[in-house]
Amino acid sequence: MGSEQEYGLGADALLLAKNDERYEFRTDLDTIESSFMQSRNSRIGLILFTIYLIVYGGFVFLNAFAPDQMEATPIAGLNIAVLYGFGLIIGAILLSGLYGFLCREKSSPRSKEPRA
Amino acid sequence: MIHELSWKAVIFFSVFVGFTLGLSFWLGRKAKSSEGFFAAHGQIPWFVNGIAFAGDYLSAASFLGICGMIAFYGYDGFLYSIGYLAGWIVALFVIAEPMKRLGRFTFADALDSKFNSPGIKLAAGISTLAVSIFYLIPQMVGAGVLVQPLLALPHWAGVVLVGTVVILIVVTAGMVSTTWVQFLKGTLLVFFSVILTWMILQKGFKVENGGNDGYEFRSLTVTDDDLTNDDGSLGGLSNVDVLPTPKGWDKTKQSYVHLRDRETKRTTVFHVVQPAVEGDPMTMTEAQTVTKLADGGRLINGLPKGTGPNQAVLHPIGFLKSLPGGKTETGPVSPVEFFSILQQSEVVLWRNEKILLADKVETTVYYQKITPGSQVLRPGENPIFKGIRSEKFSDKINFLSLMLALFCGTASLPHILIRYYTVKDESSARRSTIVGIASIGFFYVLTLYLGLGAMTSGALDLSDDNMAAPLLAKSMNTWLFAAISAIAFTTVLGTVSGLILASAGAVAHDLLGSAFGVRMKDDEKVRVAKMSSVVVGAIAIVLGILFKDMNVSFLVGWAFSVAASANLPSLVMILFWPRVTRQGIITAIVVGMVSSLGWILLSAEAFEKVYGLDLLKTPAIVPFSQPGIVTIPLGFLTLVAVSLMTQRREKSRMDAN
Repeated sequence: MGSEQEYGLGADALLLAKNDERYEFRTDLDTIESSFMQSRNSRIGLILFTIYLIVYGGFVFLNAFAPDQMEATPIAGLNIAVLYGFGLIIGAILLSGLYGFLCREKSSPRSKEPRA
Repeated sequence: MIHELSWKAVIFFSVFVGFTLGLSFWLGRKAKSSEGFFAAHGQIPWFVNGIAFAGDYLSAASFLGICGMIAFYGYDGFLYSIGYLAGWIVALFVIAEPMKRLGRFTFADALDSKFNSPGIKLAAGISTLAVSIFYLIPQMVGAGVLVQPLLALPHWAGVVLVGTVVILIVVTAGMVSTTWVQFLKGTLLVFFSVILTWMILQKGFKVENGGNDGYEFRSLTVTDDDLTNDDGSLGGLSNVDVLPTPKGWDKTKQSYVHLRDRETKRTTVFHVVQPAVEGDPMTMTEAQTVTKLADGGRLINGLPKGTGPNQAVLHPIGFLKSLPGGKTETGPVSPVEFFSILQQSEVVLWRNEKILLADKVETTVYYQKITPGSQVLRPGENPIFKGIRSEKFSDKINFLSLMLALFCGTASLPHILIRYYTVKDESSARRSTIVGIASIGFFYVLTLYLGLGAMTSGALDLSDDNMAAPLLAKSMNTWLFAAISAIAFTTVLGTVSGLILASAGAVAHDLLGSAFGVRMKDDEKVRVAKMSSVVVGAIAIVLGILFKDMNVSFLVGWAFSVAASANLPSLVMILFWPRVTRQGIITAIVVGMVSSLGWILLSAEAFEKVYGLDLLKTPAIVPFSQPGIVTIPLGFLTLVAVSLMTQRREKSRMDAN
């Protein structure tokens, strides 16, 4: 994760350009790279959001249209209401951690240089 | 119940307030610029900002309201926990990073980043003020409610006290001090909730006949013939007379029997539960009554309210009728056993009925409802969520609408959104949201233990469900009670300071600075923001006093609906749809705000709770109370339609610029 290959066709141009010494060109590259990161993060975010929305929607619709199902106790004497509810909260924490992991920045020495 | 002044709570509260004010004055030296006042120079570490998110977000409604609702009705309060947390998923995955990238001080900045339009700033500023005021009222009323039992001060004094402290916190160092107050509050709230949960699990469950004042509620098994004999015996009691049904009690929904003790002459009300099989004896359980007299006085169980001789207070409640396997006590339980044991137990819950006895004389009778644990742990017992078990489709839609508003509302709350400008970059915005989700989610898991622990603590006050969590702590340890009470107070401080700061930003930065084009130097802008904080704080104090006698907890739900309907469509579409126009944004905010507010004001909830109307005589105009499911899509549709209609005009404007 986080390697240039993930960026698709633009990655080669990015790799070549990284060796270039000209400052302005590198500043442009920062912008391009940042834009890549933004759209990549945004894509990951939307995928994870969709997953959570489906699971949350399932919980809400189950409550609204089949509330008696929430009383079943499939595991360790815990009912679906408690299991699903805890699952949604713990799932949110895990998905947010996963998002943080997938969106972590590459360590780039260039980013520490002063900008124009 | 009469609460005594807790000196320990006063000490805890004073230490916390003194410390936060000292910190605010010290930090105030660093926040002279508008960048410092509104956004803490963007220098707050992401971890601190994440915990401050928790401190900002976990309002009195979360801590006191959810615990109280679970303690009195079971699982239903936890639906709020789930919905409130799910909203953070929208904030993290959709809003957080672009919000940081596009904005500077307020969320209106982000909406307006492409257009530089005074109209957008005006609409977003007004929407911020509307949502913040809705959110402020219950917080301030809550402050007054809390101060009465804890510091033995009148309601207005609590509101003024909290209002003054918050104004000082905000005015001294703006976002810098607000952040640190929220960080402290978030940390303390989660830490003490963990301690309390651990103590609940260690204590386990025990079968009792009453609360922790030692009073045992009587339960009688009687036949119809027993009720008509006059030998003074009834279901194991002796020397009692069955009184004829008093005036006003003949039209009740439940059945009651009044018994008078021949020696003490005291009358006790029993609630009658008819047998499942006709002909079997009926069960009568002891009820409690509170009578409001025309002169404002109170009778508790027929005696004047007080702790002296011939006076009475409500007995605390919250106990189990039975445990699985006929046990009377469990000893310590694991986090999983806590639910599996409760699932198979019987809990004594209490319900109430109001009876008008004469003009301005009203009795509330609280009666026992023995409830299987399996029902306590399922949704649909609370009046708010009862609709999911209703046959009416509109009741189910109301539930869907509420859960949608909770999901969409969080990421649209102005006081939450401004916290994205206090960190240095998008990566920090993302990380702090993740920390916020972890700490808020962890706390919400604990709310189910805290609420159900309070339900079986023997410490609940029938007349005040907001006190469930502090009273649970009191049943464990008085120092813990003092700490939890002080934290409940700081809960109000943390959230109110965030709301006042968001409002001040809307007034100084969005409305005056941008919408009305008042040119201000940086230090003038800070001065105006500070003055705005004082004015908004003063308004909050006045509203907190005016709304004193009203149950205002539903206003938080309204704030979520209005925020989601007015703000979310514009926030989402400006990020993902390049054809958005400024007219589209302005119209969507106005339509979302007006339609959600209008819907709310025409709903059954407003008719009943705000205007005090009888719904049978004056039915509500809209079919269900929660507007989100209609007004959020309406906001999106408006934005798309108006943007498509104004494409050409916007293009020529952009070209001209």
